[in-house]
Amino acid sequence: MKLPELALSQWPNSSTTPPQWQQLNQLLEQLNHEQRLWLSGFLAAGSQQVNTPISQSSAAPQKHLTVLYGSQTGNGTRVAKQLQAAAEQAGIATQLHSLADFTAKQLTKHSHVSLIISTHGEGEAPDDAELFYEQLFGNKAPDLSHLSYSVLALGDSSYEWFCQTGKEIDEQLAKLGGKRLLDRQDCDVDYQDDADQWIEVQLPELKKALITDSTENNITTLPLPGNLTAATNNQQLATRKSPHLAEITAIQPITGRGSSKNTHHIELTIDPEKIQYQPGDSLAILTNNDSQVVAALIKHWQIDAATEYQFKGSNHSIQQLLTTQVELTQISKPFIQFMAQQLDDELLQQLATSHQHFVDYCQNHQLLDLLQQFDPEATIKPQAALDQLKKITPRLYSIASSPAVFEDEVHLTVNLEAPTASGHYGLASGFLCDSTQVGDEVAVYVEPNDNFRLPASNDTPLIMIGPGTGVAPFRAFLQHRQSQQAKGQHWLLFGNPNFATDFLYQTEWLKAKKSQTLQELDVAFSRDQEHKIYVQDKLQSKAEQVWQWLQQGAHIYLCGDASRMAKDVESTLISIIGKQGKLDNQAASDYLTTLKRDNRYQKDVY
Amino acid sequence: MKNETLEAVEHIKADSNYLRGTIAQELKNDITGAITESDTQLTKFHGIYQQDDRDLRKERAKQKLEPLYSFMIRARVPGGICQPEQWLSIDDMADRYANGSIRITTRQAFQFHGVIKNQLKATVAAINQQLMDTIAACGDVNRNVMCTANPELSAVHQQVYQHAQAISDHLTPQTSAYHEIWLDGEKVNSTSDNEPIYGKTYLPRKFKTAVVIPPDNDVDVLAHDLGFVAIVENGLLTGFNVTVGGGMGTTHGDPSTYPLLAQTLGFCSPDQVLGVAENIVKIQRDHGDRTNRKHARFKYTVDDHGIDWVRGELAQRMGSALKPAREATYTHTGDRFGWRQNHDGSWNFTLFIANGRVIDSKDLALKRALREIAAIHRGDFRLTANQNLIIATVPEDHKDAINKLLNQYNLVTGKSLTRQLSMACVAFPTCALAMAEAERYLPDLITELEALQHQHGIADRGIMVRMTGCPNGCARPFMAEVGFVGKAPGRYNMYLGGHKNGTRLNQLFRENIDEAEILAHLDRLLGEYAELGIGGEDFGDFVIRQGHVNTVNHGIQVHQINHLTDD
Repeated sequence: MKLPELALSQWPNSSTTPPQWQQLNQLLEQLNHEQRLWLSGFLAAGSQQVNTPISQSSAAPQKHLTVLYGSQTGNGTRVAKQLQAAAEQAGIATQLHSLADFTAKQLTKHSHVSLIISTHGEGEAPDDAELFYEQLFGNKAPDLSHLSYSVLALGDSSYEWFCQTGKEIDEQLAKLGGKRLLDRQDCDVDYQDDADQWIEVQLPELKKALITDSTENNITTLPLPGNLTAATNNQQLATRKSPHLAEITAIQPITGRGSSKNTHHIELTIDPEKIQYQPGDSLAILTNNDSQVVAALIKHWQIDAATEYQFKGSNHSIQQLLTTQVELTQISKPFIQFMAQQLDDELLQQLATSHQHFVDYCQNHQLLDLLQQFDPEATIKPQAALDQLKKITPRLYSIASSPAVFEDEVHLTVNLEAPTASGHYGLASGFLCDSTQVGDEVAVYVEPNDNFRLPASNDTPLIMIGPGTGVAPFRAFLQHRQSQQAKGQHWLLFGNPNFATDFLYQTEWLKAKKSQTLQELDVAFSRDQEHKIYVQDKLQSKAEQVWQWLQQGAHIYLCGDASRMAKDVESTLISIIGKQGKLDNQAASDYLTTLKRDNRYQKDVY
Repeated sequence: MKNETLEAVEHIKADSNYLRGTIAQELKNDITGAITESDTQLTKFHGIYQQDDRDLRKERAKQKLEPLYSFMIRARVPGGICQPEQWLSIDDMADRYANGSIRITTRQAFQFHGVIKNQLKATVAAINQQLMDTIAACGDVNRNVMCTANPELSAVHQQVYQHAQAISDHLTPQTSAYHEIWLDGEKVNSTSDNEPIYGKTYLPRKFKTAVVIPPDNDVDVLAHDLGFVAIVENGLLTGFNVTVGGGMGTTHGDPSTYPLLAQTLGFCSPDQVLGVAENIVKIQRDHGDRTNRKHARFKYTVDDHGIDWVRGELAQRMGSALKPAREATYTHTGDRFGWRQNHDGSWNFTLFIANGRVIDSKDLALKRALREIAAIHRGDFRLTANQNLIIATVPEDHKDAINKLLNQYNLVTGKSLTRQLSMACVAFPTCALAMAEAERYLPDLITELEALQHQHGIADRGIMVRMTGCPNGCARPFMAEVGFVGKAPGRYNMYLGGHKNGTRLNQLFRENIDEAEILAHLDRLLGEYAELGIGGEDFGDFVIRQGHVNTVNHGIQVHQINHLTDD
């Protein structure tokens, strides 16, 4: 970490002499992409502090592409970086900003903007884009008639408001005078191919507009949010394309007999050179589909396993496609709509049109169930189905361990949902909890989550709200804080159906409480009494204390179910802030937004 | 006694503010199903034992879950008399708060198992609402006062029972902590709490009192710290012989611990009963050993000081000596099963309940049957000291209705005499002290024993078998003709030679043996008994006459043995 400090103290306050510039370039050559990004962010942050304009070196280009992203799970960040890299390669100067650090007004200073934005829950913007979104739709939204833009929307078609935020922003930018470089691209959970194409299509346009002779060889990059891992050897790190094979060393059920849940604690042994993570990160699991399901589908279509079919542009045997490439466990809404077009079935029409029916159905049905139920005669042929099906996606699990304590291990907390009608489990949960054994290997890589990070100071108090498997990252947090002998106070709120069987990691929390690492532990077991009690009720009952902790600078972390819990907790927080801080609802809501902006309220919800 | 040598529990009691401790706070602590260690000592005084499902301990440790804690709640039923409406609500509580079963204890109390912490208060409140209580059902105080259950002795029984009830009331702790914690009673300034009999450290150890009406000895009066033996002359209760210093509990491998039979102190008139009870308790309060809980029972106080010293102490405290004891003889400790008629023409049906466990199983809907009987019963119920149940004082014109239900639920089928006499404690999975199975295993062992008796042509003989999972002796195993005391899973010490009338302790016959060895020994001994037993000779007498064990004259001899090589 010495190098950035040196650069910070010298760069902004001295004009660049040719030898310095040479040295700097030499240095930059030694840095890999991640490190460069980090350095640019660091320098930019430092320069802002001393009121020096950002990256306005004499060599900086005037025309550049501004890549903006709003991302909850990291997919948006990834696409943004990919676009940036591709643009740079093509010789286009770029700036990269998180929407958390970008205002609608700033759009007026940028000529070409590519915006990557995800949608969450019921059509909501990701946390880091919330303010930008409000500004863009507010009274003071700027005139953007100078702007050329493109939008890539990320979403999940199993939700009712698929890519809603992207659609809205795309339209609003046009309304404000912006000109589309190309049509908006909506991407589903298997976004990669669509994203690749979107990037490819717009590059020529961008090149035409942005490249002049003088800018050809310059690179400007701007800050990334958060504290990027100072990885030493990024080449070795496992990625989606080159995952790490980790050995499974423990598969331990951690819900007791008679539980309505079936939650497992999974331990993997990893190579710390390849898997580097921080508390808050997720582990991506890459796994094949269940061979029984594949066999059943082949049987359903009454075809030969070796027959070749086409999927996403390449040909392979159906056996291989179904095993390794096609998403089989999660039904997509477009596929249901496709089936509804093909088959005359009332129930199917209902699933295609009613979101609630669709959601309920998908709870306990997979593709196999769907086909067996609605198309027992297999009138929809394999190729027709493949054309509509999605690519298998990695499954992400919040890591439940800290590398400071378990250097060569990753722990996960995985709930195995009840099997579907045809007796099959979820893709990764079924693999980890049901079909695999200790000693087996699993392909993994780390999915960093810079939006879910421990505070910089070990003295900062933490309020951690994590019902169900949402408690996983807090196990990592607490382990990490314990290993640092952190002085900050810790407060955990946990909930699940029943105390006797579902108190995940109970003995560990009790031990932490006894040793005073964990000062406050509140639990809500919804089904242990007639009226249901949830974490937000516990939070509400301790409103005064929550407020006190906030006054002491506490960070609030929320992890778990996005569909209901996260919303209920959030509205409870606003109500607590309002009442305790004597603020009206809007002011309380703004207070929470400020906490968000200051990274004092972070969410990892799914 | 020097403070530093006192047992830890003595400090807990002294510091508890009359049994409060931090129980009230711990009940509200919802992150654990347990209460603090010191509070577990105190809740015993409130009739509540913390336990956990020992079958699941290891499994749950792996699941990163604490042990599956629950509580046993014991409700005092002085003399074991319970009204039908009380039965119905006990039945309801078992489903609502506990594990769906009721247990009739060897000391005429009800036990619920598997009550979780957040249901404790509701359960205790419900029990109190039914005019029963749980205070002093456990702990270092006088516990449930037992009384001969036999309703056939109706006129005298009523009088004697009232004495039992009066003793129970008189010796009940006075602390307001019980009402405060469980019944939302008003918080009382602790300076106003006072225990006139016990003082703030209560007794050194548990204290058990029984009242018996000879010739029945169903309550095993000689196994009690304090006994009152009703002396009935010409149909009138003239007073009681007082017995002191009996008790069962021992510790494996500790020769300074042993069971003892009570000795007779003298005779008291009915109006002296409460005074005797109070002063005996006070003698134990002042002289019991508070430095060693294994030596703290009153039996050791009596044994160490001698019976004459006790007589002197009591005389001094009461102002006069007791009169000499009257003649009293016992015929049996067992119950009289089936229908029997009382002098007033009403009827009793004594129902065998295996180890006192009232539960619906797939073979026997016992709990449901008793609920239906309780719903129409116009007499009362009596819990017997042998863990059975008497449907008592059924009016003549109601007998058929009860009998119909008994038949409908298949409750009148004959059990062998041996099974009727058998008794086991709870042991696994709930009892923290258990080293081996008892309640869950004894019925199977009895089946094996019945087969052996059948083989040897002595199926009609009753042999009294008692089993406990540890040497504390809840099922009074040292009084049995054949006693089994758990040492380790599947392994027991085997004792022989108790007397069916409860007047002789048995002696260790084999140590640490498994089922195969148990059955081999029984096979051999029963063969011998079938061949060489004289007339109606009881098995307990026979094994002594044959020299397999010696007659035990003092409890210390129970484990002093020299015949372990006998084959």
